[in-house]
Amino acid sequence: MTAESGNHYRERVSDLLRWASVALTPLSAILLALLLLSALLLAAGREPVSTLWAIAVSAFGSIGGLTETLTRMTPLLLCALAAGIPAKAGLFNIGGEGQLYCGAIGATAIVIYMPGLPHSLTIPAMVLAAMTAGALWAAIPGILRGALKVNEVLVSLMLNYVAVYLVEHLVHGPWKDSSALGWPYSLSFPGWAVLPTLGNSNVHLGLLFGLVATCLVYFLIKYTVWGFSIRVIESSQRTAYYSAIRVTSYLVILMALGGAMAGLAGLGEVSVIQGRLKSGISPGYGYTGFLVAWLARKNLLAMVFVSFVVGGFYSGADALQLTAGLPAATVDIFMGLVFLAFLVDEYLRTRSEAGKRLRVV
Amino acid sequence: MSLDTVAWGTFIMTVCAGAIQSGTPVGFAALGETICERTGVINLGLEGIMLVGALTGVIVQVEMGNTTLALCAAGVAATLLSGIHAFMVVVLNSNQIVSGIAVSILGTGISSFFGRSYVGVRFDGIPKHGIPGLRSIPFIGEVVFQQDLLVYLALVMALAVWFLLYRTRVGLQMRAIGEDPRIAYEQGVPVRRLRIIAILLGGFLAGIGGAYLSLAYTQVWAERMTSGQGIIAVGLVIVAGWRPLSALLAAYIFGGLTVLHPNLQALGTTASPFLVKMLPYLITLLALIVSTLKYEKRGQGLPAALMRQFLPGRS
Repeated sequence: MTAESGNHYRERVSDLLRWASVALTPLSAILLALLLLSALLLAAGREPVSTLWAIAVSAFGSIGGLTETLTRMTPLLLCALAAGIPAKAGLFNIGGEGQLYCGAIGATAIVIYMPGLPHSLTIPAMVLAAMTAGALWAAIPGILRGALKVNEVLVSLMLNYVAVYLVEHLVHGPWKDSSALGWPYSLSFPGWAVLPTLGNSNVHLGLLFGLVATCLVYFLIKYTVWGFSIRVIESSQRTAYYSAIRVTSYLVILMALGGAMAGLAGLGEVSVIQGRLKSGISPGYGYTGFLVAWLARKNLLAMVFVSFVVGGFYSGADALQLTAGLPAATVDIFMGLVFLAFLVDEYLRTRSEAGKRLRVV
Repeated sequence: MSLDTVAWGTFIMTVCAGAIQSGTPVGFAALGETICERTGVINLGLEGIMLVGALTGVIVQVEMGNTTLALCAAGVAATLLSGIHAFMVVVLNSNQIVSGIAVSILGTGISSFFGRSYVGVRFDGIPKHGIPGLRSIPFIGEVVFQQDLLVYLALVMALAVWFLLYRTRVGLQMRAIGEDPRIAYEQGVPVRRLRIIAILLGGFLAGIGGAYLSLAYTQVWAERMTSGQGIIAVGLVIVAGWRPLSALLAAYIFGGLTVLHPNLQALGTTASPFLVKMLPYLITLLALIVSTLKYEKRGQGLPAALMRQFLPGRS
């Protein structure tokens, strides 16, 4: 074996190890969080092992459970992209929730205002409208950040509440369906405005959109000049500025692109899951998506895996809510714990890496 | 005097009185966050921390019927939760925004999980005694002197925080580590300890704010009842330029906007309730933009080390 091929081999191994560590971080964090959650369930008077086992079985143990998991994974993956794409340039988009609601508004607007559209064009128009609405909503913190240096964290967070009230206003007021027996619902979507689904399940086209978008953005960032500029911006905005990279427009575009993804999540929820616009269409997918993106260490491909696991927890806990009265808030607690465990994990890793470096030097 | 002027007079008076009352929860949280951000730590977990405070207050009030105890318990529970943020941010040197969001989600989940059996339960809230003698002054008496004790406590707190930050040695040290932790550390200031204290103090005040919301303002527990007030508190601290007295004032203005809607209805307007409910968020947002522009221009106000991590051992 020549020295060159030996190096090549070693590179491969270190690549593999890096991949393993990317995959292992969320796993060890999830395990640690499961331990903490068990303690909490015990405190609330529930038997933790059987509860968690039941969640796992109903999420991954049957075809029906798996399709429900994939259904829940879809908005999570899209919202993770909403946070993860801007994160590639070091931006925080915590507005996935609001952008999801705006996407839902956009999609519903097509159904309400363009009933004369040929049926085959309705869904493409809805996709376009949902993406545009989400992108515009996300562009607000993007522009404010890029042009005026306003903290995008707070702006995107506050816009979530504004978007939720906007939906409430629409379904209580102008878009309220008179045939909904007084419920604050929009009209229910006709069959041609429902995204195609897989067989009888709720797994819909949105999942495919999410997977394709993940791969597209992954390659864009990894192999194009455009992506290189983004990586420069992430490591140093100053360097980017002096390299004549138009930082502001990159920041706005990345935020808008992220918002478009969350908008797609809104489209899926409103078109397939609910079949109409109403309030409370998302149990916090936007926030969980942000956590998923970080859990995947901003690695786009890892987000697919993490959102699948987290989607499983959603679907399993949901099933147990019906059969065993497990509160829906368990998912929130679990997500918070996973995340804190992840931060602990991250700390231990950087410490051990720093230790290794010291030993080498 | 025409009926219209009378109606407008009552409108202004009830909005002003309501502004003080409904601004008090955010005010408490914003005061705590002012201390916290002055030391260079932003706490986005306030939303969840307020919720835990609100629920703990309700549980103790319902089970024991002791308001003082309920408030203390709320403060302690909130302090415990903010302790997680302190541990993550100061000890483990984690990203402040990420840790804050995690704490926020955790607090929201915990409060919904344990609060299920308390939804809609009735209890005796905090009574409005007001200040005898002064309470009968027209207008001012009704707006200012017919409130409950905690409203006045918030005012005292604002003065106390001001005193702490600007008139004590610890306060000077806190402001110093918010500007440049390294130099402060080299001067012998215990940077990490002070940051932990500031985060815990901020959590305690946010817990009191949450408990005020459930015990005095709504007098009932509901899931996610803070509806973004924790985030608003963080925003108001920036709008107020990290000054405690301005933070409380900003909270009152926010409070005034939140009570606009029911009072507008009384005036006979037909504005959409949801669009009016949006106003406080939009105006806080606008104020945030304006104040950021101001700081950018003058380069003052913002603690220079805000959101920066600090490890004593490394440069």
